[in-house]
Amino acid sequence: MIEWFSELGDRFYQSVIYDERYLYFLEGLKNTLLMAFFAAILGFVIATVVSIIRDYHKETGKLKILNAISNIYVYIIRGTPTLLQLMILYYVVFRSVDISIITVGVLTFGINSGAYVAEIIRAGFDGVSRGQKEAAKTLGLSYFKTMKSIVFPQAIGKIFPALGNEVITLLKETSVASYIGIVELIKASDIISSRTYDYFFPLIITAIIYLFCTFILTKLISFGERRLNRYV
Amino acid sequence: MYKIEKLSKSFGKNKILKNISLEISKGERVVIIGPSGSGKSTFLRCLNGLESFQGKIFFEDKDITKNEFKRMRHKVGMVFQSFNLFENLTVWENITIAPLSRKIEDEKTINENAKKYLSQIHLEDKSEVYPSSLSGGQRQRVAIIRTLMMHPDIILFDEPTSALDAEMIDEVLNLMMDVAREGMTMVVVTHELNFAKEFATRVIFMDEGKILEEGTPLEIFNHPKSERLKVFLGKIKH
Repeated sequence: MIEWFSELGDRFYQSVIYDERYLYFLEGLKNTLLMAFFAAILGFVIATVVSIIRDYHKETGKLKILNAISNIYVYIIRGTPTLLQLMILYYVVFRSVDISIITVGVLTFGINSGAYVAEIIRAGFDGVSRGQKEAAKTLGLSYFKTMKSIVFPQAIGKIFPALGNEVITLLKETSVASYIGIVELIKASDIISSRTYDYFFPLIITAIIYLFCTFILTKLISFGERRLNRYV
Repeated sequence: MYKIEKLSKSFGKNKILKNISLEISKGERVVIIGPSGSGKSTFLRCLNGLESFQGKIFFEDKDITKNEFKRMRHKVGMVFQSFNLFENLTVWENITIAPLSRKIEDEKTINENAKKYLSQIHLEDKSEVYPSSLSGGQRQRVAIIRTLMMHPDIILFDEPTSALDAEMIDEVLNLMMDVAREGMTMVVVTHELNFAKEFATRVIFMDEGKILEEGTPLEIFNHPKSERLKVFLGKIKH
């Protein structure tokens, strides 16, 4: 037992300090955050477009084809593993295209997240009382003005915790990208432990970094939630 | 102003409205009374296209199911039982969003109107608050001036006081009286019969999706003809 503890210092040194191995963690953290951040934005944009198409179709019966495409998109994404989507994009779609693997990661996770967020936003729209839309209609407000100024802001306030959850999921799910060789956090710890044959510190440190990130995110989410719902 | 021809509506097998025909002229104040479930509210909601229906409804000779009506639907104001103020907007934004967005007049005039109406209902100091911090009576008064901001030709009131505590009913009814004095055409579904007597130029009694009786307040309340209406008035009185 005492021996185990006395070795810890050396193992920590080997895993983190020696040969500037901490740089792998930094690189991993950078890529994880980069992918999560841009994928979250991309996913939100896709989800917004998809949910507006679906809602507009529900209200007016128009946009039949776009609505069908939206439904198929959500169905496919939710019905297949993220890793498979990543591999299809990397090995099939962008096989002979000159594109950075980080971009492939961002696209995959963004497209993936969009389907889930679209479902969240749909629930948010449903949560806005029917009367809000009716009042807007009788005042002569257009569909898009009603969505932009009334339904969307209210829906976002209601679903903000769920959206935050999705961002946290996304942050963790980017670890799948290690499969195509992106040096995100898991890959970084993998690289280090393959040099030292010691998994302890690389994995523990990676866990701590993830926990720290999700802690910050959780704080941001509850702050944002209070801001968005200040009218309640 | 309104011409309703053979209006029917059903939810599944349930027939809510049965072959209603009616005309409403400018300056009229029509009050619709009747037992719960008689189709009063549904009838009102059909008038500005919030419900689908069979038959024809014309507003100023325009078929309300057509785009020519949709372009001018802000000319038909509506006040709801549950107020339906925009929850995420302040009182000021609630009353100015539609006129600003539709650009029915220049911004300066809209702002002046908003101030004028807010002071008319004594809520000038509430212009920056959100609806959630207003009482029910205050919310309904804001909803009424929100409609007035669009300079409607007619306002439909769907049980405007039914969701209010007793002590707040009068403030809303008084405002409706004020609006009526300006010559506004109004159609009101309500259970406030005393108000109806004083306010209406015509009273319509609906039961089971049909207009059973219509006439002046005097005719309806003092000389009801049908047994149903007599029973209805008797129940409300006692």
